[in-house]
Amino acid sequence: MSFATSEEELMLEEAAIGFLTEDYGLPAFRKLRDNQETFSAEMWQGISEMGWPGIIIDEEFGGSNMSTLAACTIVKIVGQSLSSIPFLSSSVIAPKIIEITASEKQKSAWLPLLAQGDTRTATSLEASTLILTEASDGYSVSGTIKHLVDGMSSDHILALASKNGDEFLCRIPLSDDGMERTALTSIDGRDIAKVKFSEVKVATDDILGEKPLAEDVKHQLLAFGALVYAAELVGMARAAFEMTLAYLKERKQFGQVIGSFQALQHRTSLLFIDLSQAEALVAKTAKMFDEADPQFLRFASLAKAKAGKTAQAIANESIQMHGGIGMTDEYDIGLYLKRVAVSEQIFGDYNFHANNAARLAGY
Amino acid sequence: MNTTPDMPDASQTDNFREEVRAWLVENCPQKLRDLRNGSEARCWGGKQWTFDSPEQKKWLERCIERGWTAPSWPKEYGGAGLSAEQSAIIKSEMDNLNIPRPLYSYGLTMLGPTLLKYGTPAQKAMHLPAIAKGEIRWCQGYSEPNAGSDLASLSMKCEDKGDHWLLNGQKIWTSTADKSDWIFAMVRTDNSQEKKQMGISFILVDINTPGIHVRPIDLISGKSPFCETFFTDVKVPKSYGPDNSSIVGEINNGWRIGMYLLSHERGSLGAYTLDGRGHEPLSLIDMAIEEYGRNSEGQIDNPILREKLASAQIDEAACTALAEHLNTQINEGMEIGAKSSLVKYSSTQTIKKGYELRMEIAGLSGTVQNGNQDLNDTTLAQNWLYSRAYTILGGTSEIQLNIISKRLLGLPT
Repeated sequence: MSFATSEEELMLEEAAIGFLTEDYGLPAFRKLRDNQETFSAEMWQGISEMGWPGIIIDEEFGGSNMSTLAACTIVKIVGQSLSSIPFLSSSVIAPKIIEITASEKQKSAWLPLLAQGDTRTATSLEASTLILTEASDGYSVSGTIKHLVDGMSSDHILALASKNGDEFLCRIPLSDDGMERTALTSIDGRDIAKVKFSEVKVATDDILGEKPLAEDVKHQLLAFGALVYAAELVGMARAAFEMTLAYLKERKQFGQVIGSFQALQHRTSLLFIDLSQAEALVAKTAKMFDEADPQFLRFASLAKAKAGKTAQAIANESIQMHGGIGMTDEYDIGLYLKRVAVSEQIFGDYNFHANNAARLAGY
Repeated sequence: MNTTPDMPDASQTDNFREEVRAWLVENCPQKLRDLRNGSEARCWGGKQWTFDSPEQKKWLERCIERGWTAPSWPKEYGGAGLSAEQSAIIKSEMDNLNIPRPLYSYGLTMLGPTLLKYGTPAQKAMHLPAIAKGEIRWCQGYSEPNAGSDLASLSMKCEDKGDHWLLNGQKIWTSTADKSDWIFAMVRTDNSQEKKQMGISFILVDINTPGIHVRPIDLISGKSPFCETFFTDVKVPKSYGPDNSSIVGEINNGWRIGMYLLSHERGSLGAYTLDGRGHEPLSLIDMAIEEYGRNSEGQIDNPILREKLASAQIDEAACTALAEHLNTQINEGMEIGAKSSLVKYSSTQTIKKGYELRMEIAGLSGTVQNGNQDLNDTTLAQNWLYSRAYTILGGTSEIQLNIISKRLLGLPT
């Protein structure tokens, strides 16, 4: 199911499939992975030339101010194609954090850089393991982020840090100055870093909004992040499903294609029902965000839970239906199993979101 | 654009809606609006019908006069000659104002549209006005004991006896046959065809013809609208007048007509929710809270049940989102085809799940039913038992999965 609801979104979707899936796609991912690389500068340059890093940034700051649904359309295809670019962090989540929490001056300074793709910004919102302390000329931050998604390919981070019970969002350059940045080997070939901060300076100007982060705003940002990863998950689920469906139509055993067996047909149909529903729920939730629907927080949790559960079910069944070849590294289906397992853990897993959805529904 | 005489200027949708609303408010008796949510407010018509109230009769008569029991049918056949869009406005305004439809019937929703497409002028003239006026109530004769999911294997015999047809066999799941006047049925007119869809005809029969015997079926949930209908040497005239055959369309070519009728039955997609059809006094979640109470954090004080409810609500939200998406496409005039099976499969799972959870929550008080097992006075136990049927009727879940495999996914036979 396409997310697109307008001509403009359809064109964007086609362009994203053309560039991310056809021009690059899985062969490009494998090549990087086999060189122990997690970031394609070439792809990033390509999407920057097309203006995608500015997709949800206001025109005033050099973006194209499209809908959250449009952004999710590209995110989904990033998931489908396993693209090695920090699009989710730097082009969707970071700009939204800045749009919602930063001062006008900060927006003018930072958003144009993000929109052009001149800077790449990772985000760390989920746990404030960083401590902010007052220093002579501003603040300093110390502590460790154990798993920073897109941490090696980014040059900045928007990180949550706490000070006397208040939480602050800080924009910090990622450099070698007072910082230990170590690349982790994620099973899915994704860029994940461990970053240790030792009294890294943060100017007052670099505290978003120059005030503590309000609890309700934090929840809104977390829900937005969950929605973005839900879109990525349905993209991976869609790709794994289509790969498996094609395999069922070509693989022969007992003198016939295995897709003719009803035992497999019904299991495949059940996965397709879940996939269609998860896609529809993610699209609905993306629209709810733009309409400032009061149910958005709950729906973000419902969407992330459904997308994660569905993507895992499809990835697992895909390996099973491929049989032995699905277990080999040479065949592509396993790439999705691994990336789904990682995305399921980002911005809250099924258990977190099922619990949260129940809480928000008043039980 | 067609308009009614009372409504000379309905070219503007908004104007039309305003006028519809004004007429409905003025003409629908208040008593019916108060009863709207109960099935007791529904009028099904037919020779056996007794009105529940003078208001119900008055409301039907006023709508018949205006052609509003079947607003989109041509006026000559008892309709109002309105467009599909105008007809939809009338229905949505009735819903908005808590006004019941003046007439519910399988004639209106199933047979009528089929006759409009495939009937001769004489067939239309004989049957459509009687449907629109609620004079004749119809039931459907499709399934047989040995033709359920595999409907095309139906075997009820319809033999050519010169001036009449001779019917022998049995139909099952003929909803409300005991209260109906006529039955439309698919019957076997030719046994020699290799393809079993060939040799089937679509016939219209007066249910009071000698040799027809109707027996209501009790379900695991008690009384039900379903019946079995037996045909023993039933003589059906070949025609009811000039150009007015008892068979619709060509002889031996009725499968297509029967399927058209089913496709019309579906129309827009209804997705069941965990709260079923709204028969229960409390929502599922409220029921759980009332039964288990809340812990100090305000959560339902049983984490296992809470987890099940949360999981069910995630699936429900996803199913609803897909139904909304597909309904948007339908409203935009797109053909969603076999995609309706995606919603049929999952929304019937959802309603069943809702009743299963209610039974878990209710404990033994959920297993007590009414002694009289009345149709309109159902307990949780009976609703739960009846809910087992949702994944069977209208095409079983397994058939839906076959449809999805073959028509949406292109998996080979």
